[in-house]
Amino acid sequence: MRKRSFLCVALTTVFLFCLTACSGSVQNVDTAKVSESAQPETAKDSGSDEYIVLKLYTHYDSGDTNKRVEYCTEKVQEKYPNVSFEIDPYQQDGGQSIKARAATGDLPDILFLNDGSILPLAKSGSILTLDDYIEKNDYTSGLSQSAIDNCLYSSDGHIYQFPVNGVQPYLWYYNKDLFDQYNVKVPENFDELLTAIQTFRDNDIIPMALFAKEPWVSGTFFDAFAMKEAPGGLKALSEGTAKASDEGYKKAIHKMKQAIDAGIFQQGVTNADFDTAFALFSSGKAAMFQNGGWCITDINKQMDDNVDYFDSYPTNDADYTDNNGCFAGGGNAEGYGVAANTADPELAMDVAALFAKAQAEYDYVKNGLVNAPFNTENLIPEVELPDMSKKMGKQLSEMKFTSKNVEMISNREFGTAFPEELQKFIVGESEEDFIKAVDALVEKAGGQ
Amino acid sequence: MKKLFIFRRKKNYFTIVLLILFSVISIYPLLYLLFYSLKTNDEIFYTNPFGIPLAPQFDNYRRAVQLFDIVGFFKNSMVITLFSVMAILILALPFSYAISRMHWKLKNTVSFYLSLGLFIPIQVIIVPLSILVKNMHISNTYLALIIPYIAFNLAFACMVLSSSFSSLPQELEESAFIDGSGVFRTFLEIMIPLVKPAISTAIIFATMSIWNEYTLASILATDQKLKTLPVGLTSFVGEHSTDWGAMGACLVIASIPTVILYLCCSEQVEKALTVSGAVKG
Amino acid sequence: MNKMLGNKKAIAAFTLPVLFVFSLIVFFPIIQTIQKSFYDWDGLTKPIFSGFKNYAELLRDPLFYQASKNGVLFAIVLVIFQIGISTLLALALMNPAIPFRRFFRNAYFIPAVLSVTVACQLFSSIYNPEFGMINKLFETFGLDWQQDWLSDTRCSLLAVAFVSVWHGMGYQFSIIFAGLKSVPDQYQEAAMIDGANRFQINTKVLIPLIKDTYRICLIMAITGGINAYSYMQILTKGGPGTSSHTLTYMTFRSAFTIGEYGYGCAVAAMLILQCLTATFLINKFMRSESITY
Repeated sequence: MRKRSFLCVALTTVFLFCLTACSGSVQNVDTAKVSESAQPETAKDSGSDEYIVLKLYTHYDSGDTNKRVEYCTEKVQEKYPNVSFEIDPYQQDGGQSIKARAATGDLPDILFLNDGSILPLAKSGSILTLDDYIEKNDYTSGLSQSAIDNCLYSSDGHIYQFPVNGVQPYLWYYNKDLFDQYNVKVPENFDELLTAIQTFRDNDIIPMALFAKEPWVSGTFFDAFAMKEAPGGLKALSEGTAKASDEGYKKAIHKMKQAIDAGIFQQGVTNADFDTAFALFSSGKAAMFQNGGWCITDINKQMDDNVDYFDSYPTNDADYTDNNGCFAGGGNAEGYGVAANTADPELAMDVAALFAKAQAEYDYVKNGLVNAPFNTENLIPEVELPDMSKKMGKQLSEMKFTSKNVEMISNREFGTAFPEELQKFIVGESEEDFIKAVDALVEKAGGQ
Repeated sequence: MKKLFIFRRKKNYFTIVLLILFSVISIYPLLYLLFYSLKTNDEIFYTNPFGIPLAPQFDNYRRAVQLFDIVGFFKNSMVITLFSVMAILILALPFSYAISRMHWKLKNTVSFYLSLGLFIPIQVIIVPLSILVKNMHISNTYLALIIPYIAFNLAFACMVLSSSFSSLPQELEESAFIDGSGVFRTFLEIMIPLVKPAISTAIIFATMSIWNEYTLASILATDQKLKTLPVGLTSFVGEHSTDWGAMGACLVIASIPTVILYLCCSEQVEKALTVSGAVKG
Repeated sequence: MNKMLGNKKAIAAFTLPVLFVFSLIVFFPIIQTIQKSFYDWDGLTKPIFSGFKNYAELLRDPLFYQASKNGVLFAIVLVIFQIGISTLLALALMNPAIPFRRFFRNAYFIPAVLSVTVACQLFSSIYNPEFGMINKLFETFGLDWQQDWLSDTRCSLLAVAFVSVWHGMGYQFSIIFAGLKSVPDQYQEAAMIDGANRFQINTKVLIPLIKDTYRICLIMAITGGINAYSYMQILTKGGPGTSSHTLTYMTFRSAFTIGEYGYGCAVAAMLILQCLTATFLINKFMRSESITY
């Protein structure tokens, strides 16, 4: 007994010692690095000499985002050298912690908002409206028109955030090598898509890897079919201006059913998260993959130039190409907003604006993400733009975005229940039941 | 002689196989965790999810420790857990004794009242609770987590302790009172030592529950310097994908204290059980 | 002795601190939640009184019935498998002829030490329909039947429940084992002398003597099943569709995802009601006179 407890205590001590020794030399990397650049070089026009620490809620993890945050911090400190940030990493918890903190008035000064979470916060006055600031500082002159139209205003007509992303489509990527290997024609309509699915299945390749665990993914899949017949897509359903039993939607749903029955997805699709699905695609086990345009750089890193995306979703009838310019996705009012409980609103707004701009710059210059909301003529990307990026860049202005990401729709009841119905449909529910369920949902919640 | 009679049982091979099977089912996951903290994302999901890592990525550990203030998270978790568990014991022991051994009318009602704490899921009361914490002016301090943790874990600790107290014979108190000791002394010097196994159980369970707790910690302790380990872990969930290997490394680091504590405490339980058996016999 | 044990001052001193902390932190917010269930509220703006509207809607909502049913199912699985298997293991380990008992005891508790995230991560891989352990095992035995465990509306809940069974088994096992160990030997000896065999000793002597222990285990298992949340949150996100929703998940969904906080509070109130009923019934049927040794 004595020997044992001695062992326990010894183990614990050794362990703690190692841990301290390990990280002691590195110190708190994030706060150290950020605060060492807060030494003022010259007093700029910030109006005060004390150090100001702002709480910043943003993506910050062991990937690329911490470098991005450093870059943006430096840019902010060019104008405000006495400002530094205390970083609060973004949490994927359905907005629970932000909502709870809003209820207690303890929001971070500057926070990353996405479209779905803005309205309740705005309604309760927890975040500030930025309309005046935007007008006073002529912020919109630097934005592209599509960003102004799609990424700036929330559905109540006000501005609550400085955008970091411009409009971008959700694309269906495909593995060129696999298509070549099995002699599959790159499909341009639904019949050809069905043939492709069949061929891949015959050869034990998963036609499309999808991570339907996340609600927006199945919503996008739905839109890819629906928009060919009814451009309003799921957005129109959420607004109550259309029903699933309408002619166009019925047709699209029928096609979806055919694709699902033909085995388009991997098994366990509603349980697959991004990493799983992407691993299937990048390792050549799946021929197609659906994701946003932001993914181009990552795909390129893993698969070089072997990937391209369909110029339009191959979900239309062969002789009907009217709506081929319609793409799922588009613009979302997401970016950095300012909390109402911040000490110095003017300063916080200016800092948020600078930060947002810097982040968009970083994404464009370092990662080649061509969908920046700002005019990018003066910026030169440091990476070689993949072919797909160049293609998307050119195509962006012709794309029509008439629906929306289902998680960003302001009608939260529809936005939550519709992907749930879709999941059921994907795992085998019948067309009639699905249409009935969606109609009932539109009846109950449409137009809110 | 008597003892030999009851304890001379044959080895039942089927039982042994069953026991081994279950211990494999129980231990393999720890191995799985260790392995996955040394694999790349691809290996974890796809190429080699169950086997030994092909090329151990010690880099995962380096990233885990360097990128975030793991030591700080660790320290916070330790402080909070330690103080909470101590406070739970100090509060729960007298309460359980009163519930199980003392005579008063509202005993059963109060005990039932407390059992509310057993099954309230935190999501249900998180918003009123955070407003309460703010009104008590303890937001963003250690107390903001310690006090709720105490409250939530009291119910279970009390249940285990009172059950243990109930099973002690009445004669103990009778003889103590006859010898002239008062209620407090009886309680402190006689009753408490007799429920050591239950105390160990309560310590272990409360520690596990508090150490691994995520929801409350993520909402009530938002200052970087107060974050606990489970909250720190989510830092590895990135914007688009997750660094599972580093998260695994972090989970290993987080699990080690609980394993050590369990191994130490279970020793106590074993010893105390045999001792008290002799006393009662 | 009654005077000593009825000492009002002592009783107050012993119980008031706990009651105070508990009422403030747990009970008070629960009351607030129940109160808010009578309002139309999005969690942030001003609440509007709406009487029983939330409850009326709740009783009409098919999701409520599905979530309740799932909770009960989950609880049943936990009771049968967690308590059942723990009992078998604990009884088996009582036999001193078995080698390495200390090792087995510690081993069975290990799953409980791991956090929910790890358990779910592991089982996510095990359940994977294409590369998962279970389906691979079926293959090696020549069975053609492959099941999509987590993506099938019929069995997703059960699959999640078994993860919880595995994870929590350590707790139940250690409680039951500690209970069995604290039964003095003379009872077993007496039974043996009377000619009982092992099975009879186990079922007629040992198990009834630790009734109180089982009471605790039952309460833990049943209420744990009804308000399960984190397992399905990580494994299936309540899916596919809503087939693995429980009441807690529904509360979260209403309150935070959809923004109907008042409705969420009504769900929470029903959840509390179900758990209270279960606890009450268990206590009623199992709390006989205290068993002392």
